[in-house]
Amino acid sequence: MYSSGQKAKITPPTVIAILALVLYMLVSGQVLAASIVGLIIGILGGIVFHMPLLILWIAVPTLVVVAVFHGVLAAIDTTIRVLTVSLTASGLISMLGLYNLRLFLEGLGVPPKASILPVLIARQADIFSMIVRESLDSLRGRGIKGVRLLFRLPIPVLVNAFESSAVLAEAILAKVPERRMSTLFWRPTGWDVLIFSLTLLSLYLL
Amino acid sequence: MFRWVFRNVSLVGRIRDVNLTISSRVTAVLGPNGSGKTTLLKLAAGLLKPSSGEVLRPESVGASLQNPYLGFSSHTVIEDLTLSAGSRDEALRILREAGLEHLAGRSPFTLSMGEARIISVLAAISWNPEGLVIDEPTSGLDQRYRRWLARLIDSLRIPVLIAGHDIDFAASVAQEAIIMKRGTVLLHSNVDKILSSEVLDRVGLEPGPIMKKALKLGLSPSRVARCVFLGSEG
Ligand SMILES: Nc1ncnc2c1ncn2[C@@H]1O[C@H](COP(=O)(O)OP(=O)(O)O)[C@@H](O)[C@H]1O
Ligand SMILES: [Mg+2]
Repeated sequence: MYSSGQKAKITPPTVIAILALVLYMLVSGQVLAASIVGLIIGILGGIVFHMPLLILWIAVPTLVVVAVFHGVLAAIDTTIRVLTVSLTASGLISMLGLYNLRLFLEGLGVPPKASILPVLIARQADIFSMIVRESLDSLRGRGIKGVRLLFRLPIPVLVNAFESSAVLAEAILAKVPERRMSTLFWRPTGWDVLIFSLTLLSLYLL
Repeated sequence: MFRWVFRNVSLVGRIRDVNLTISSRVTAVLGPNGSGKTTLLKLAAGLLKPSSGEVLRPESVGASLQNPYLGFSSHTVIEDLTLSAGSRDEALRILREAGLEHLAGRSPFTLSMGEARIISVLAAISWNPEGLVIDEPTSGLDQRYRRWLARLIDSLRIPVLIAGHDIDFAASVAQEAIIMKRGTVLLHSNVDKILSSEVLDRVGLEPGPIMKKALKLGLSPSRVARCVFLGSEG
């Protein structure tokens, strides 16, 4: 999903504008409209179908923690907001392509060592979701099920994610060139228009 | 008597139209990287569901997957085995039987690859499943641990599926083998037939030097492999 040199479906200004709009909708109380936009972008960006585990990992802890302290209704509201922001952001970035995000950041003057960060984080997310899946299967393959499985899962995930992240970060940073890459020019695509229309439509309709 | 049956099994993007009736005690799934071995094993263990077709399997199947460290969930080996063995006594008995009591107090995450692999297999059988799958059992193992693992698998009484590209190891423990390529099954036969088949070469798999010599001399490769790995005439 994050291959380098990937063709961008949308352009960086769209990413920023949509993100700002969605945040505005959330702040101004249009949660339903914002969450629908988030869901659509999550689907278009392939997040909903390719990383359902990631969504669970964001939603379940939020739901539980807030429910314990502030009650169920507040928990649902908070979870929807958190999911909306993460689906919108990850969906937009996946449509832009990490490589292009990096070019964009460098174009804004962010130094190369820092602009590699989103790539790094996304790679960690890939590795993380693989580790979660494999640990889950490994524990089930030992006959560990149900609630016990949920309690046991964090241990191998944390131990192994920490190790792989360190190795990966070192490997990627070692390859970052000191020199800036070429600047990026943008022309709006059909996708930009589509996403914009959808967002504005839900803003006015709901 | 069958142990696993695959009927027109497909899993989108991973394997397609797999038909198999697996009835030998130990069966090796061989094939190059990305050929669908792991997918086949996870389906056989009930860890994945096919998108179409049907998998018949033993009710409970233990699994030791590619990275043994991802299945450890306690701070000591003995605590970890207790998780799936049910009691500490049973866990200790399993360790003793494998001659590994000295690892009881170690953290499973600091074990060497060979030790981790053996503990992972012990954990996968410690809950008494009716079948077992082991993915890439010999990757990262030296000859001593490969022999150890071969003896362990040979001593089990339940049906076992192993996946990998270690032909010599497969020949020593398995009676039958399956060759996969690009998500499909190319050949399913007894180990000796598979080892002398040209299909092996076609998928880029190669027996080790001893096995090659055995084949050249017209000896039964599985007997030679058993001799090398298990120290028996087979
Ligand atoms: N989680 C996954 N999601 C989608 N495709 C996968 C996944 N894991 C493996 N694949 C694909 O399925 C095919 C078979 O993979 P796998 O069963 O892991 O093969 P092997 O174990 O023989 O290397 C490969 O093309 C691989 O890219
Ligand atoms: Mg594999």
